[in-house]
Amino acid sequence: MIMVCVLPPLLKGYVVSIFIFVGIYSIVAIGLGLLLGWAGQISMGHGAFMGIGAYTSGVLSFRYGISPWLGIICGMVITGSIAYAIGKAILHFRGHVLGVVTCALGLIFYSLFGEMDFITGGYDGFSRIPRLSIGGFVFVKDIHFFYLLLVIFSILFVVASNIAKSKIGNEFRTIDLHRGGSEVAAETLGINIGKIKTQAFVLSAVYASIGGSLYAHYVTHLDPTPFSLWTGFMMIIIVVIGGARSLWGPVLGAAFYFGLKELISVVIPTTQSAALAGIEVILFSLFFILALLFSPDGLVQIPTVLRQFWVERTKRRGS
Amino acid sequence: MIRQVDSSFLELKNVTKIFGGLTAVSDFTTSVQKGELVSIIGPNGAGKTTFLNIITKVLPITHGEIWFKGQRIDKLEARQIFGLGISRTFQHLELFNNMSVVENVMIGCHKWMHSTYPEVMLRLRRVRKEEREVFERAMEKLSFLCLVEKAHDMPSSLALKERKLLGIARAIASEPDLLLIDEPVGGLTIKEIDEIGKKILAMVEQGITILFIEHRMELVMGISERVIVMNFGQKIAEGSPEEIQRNEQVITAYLGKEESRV
Repeated sequence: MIMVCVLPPLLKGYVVSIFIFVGIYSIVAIGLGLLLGWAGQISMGHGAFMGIGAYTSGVLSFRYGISPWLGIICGMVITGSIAYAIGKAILHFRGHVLGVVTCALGLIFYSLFGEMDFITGGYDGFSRIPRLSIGGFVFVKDIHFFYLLLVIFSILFVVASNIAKSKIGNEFRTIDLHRGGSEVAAETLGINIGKIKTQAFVLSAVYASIGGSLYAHYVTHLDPTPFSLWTGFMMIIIVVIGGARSLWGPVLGAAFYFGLKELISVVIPTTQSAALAGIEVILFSLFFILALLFSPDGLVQIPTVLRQFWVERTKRRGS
Repeated sequence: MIRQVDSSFLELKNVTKIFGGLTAVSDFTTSVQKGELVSIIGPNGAGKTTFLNIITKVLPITHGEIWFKGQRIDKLEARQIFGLGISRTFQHLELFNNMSVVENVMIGCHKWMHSTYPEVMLRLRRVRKEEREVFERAMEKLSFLCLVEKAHDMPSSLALKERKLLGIARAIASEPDLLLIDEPVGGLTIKEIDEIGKKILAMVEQGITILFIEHRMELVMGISERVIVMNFGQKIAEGSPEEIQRNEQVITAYLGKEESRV
């Protein structure tokens, strides 16, 4: 953490921008981590939620001159309301209805971002989105934006951590069927499972919205591509590879994703972005399968596994 | 402690549950008085667990009415029934295997936690105070059921008896008026059955009304005040353990016609 705070000023601007993307996607991933790792629910629609946050604050600040900060809050409210409506409609059912519905949601919103060109600028998008500013200080330089992002990330991480270890986090865990939860036991212990699932879903959608808004005000250009169904799937990959049961897991997953992505672009000598994207999809999907098979608790668990291995090895040698 | 016995604490009137073409519980009428210790027995497939599932709304009722403390409950949700003071354990335990022993019990205490979302997000003093209180409550229940030393273990590392006790600890964490226990001693040794029997009697002494399902006759006949016998979804007998042991219909249901004649 100290390195993350101190290192960026010493690095090239390009590397700082990678740190920024890791930070933005970490925020989205932490929210998804609460949904996936605590409540055991899958959402494929986090690309769409990022997009709603991005387009809301982007359009409001660019077209209507509203403060980007107010735009971010509007994005959170709109995204939260959409997630709430979906949750209210379907989440009282037991099982994994959310995965199917959010898949459709991802497709619908991708089309909406592209087709509503009178607001969104269509598939070409629109640029000159205002940057974030505080009291006249505009965060233009990457390094300045990085430290602003670090503060926002830290606050959101602490909030997520407080929720995770509270009674709300524990109630989320009661319905996580992958790791030993039991909906029937939860219901008979007074837990409203529909409400709990909806809360987890809304919370994670709001985190995605904040990530989307920060993306919009950093990149200053929006088109539908970064908010496709693939982004929704990619977010799941990030969380699973990093480790969904720890809040640091999604952060580690985001760092791994962007680190490897950069490595691929350096190692593979092609200028064709479509070819690179194809290689990325194949590689990350493979990593996803490998993580599910061999390390379901993700990269974040590797130190614990190694420690256990070391302790057992020492014991064996001793005996 | 003096035990009060009231009528019409739990009343079931003509309760019927039909799964497709199978009638699992048929026209079942009975009542449990406050402070009673009642057991339900019956051969496999008699409809005993279905009966508990209907009371706690794990399964919806097909016909009939269920009343608890003067309120009709068969139209309520499972969580609302819990809120009225009915708690239960499960035959297959249904423990939260992703949580420690004490966390499992703390889930049963959540009705005493009233912190709002903003308070939780900022982890204000009230949140920490509530968590401390609920932890202490949970530890009290674990102490009563001799599980304190296992408080921070995972349920999967416990022995069967301990897991069954954990199910009970979680169910009584909310201090229910009525506790429904589904097979508390299935698979346990005689000594373990005796230990759990004593705990059940202690809970009744504390004022909890208990209705339990069990196959093991050592426990049923040893501690029950009243026994209800089910077969093919119907009540075939009801009475004190001594009466049930002499009941011809019960002997036939358990042993079959030919065997019972012998």
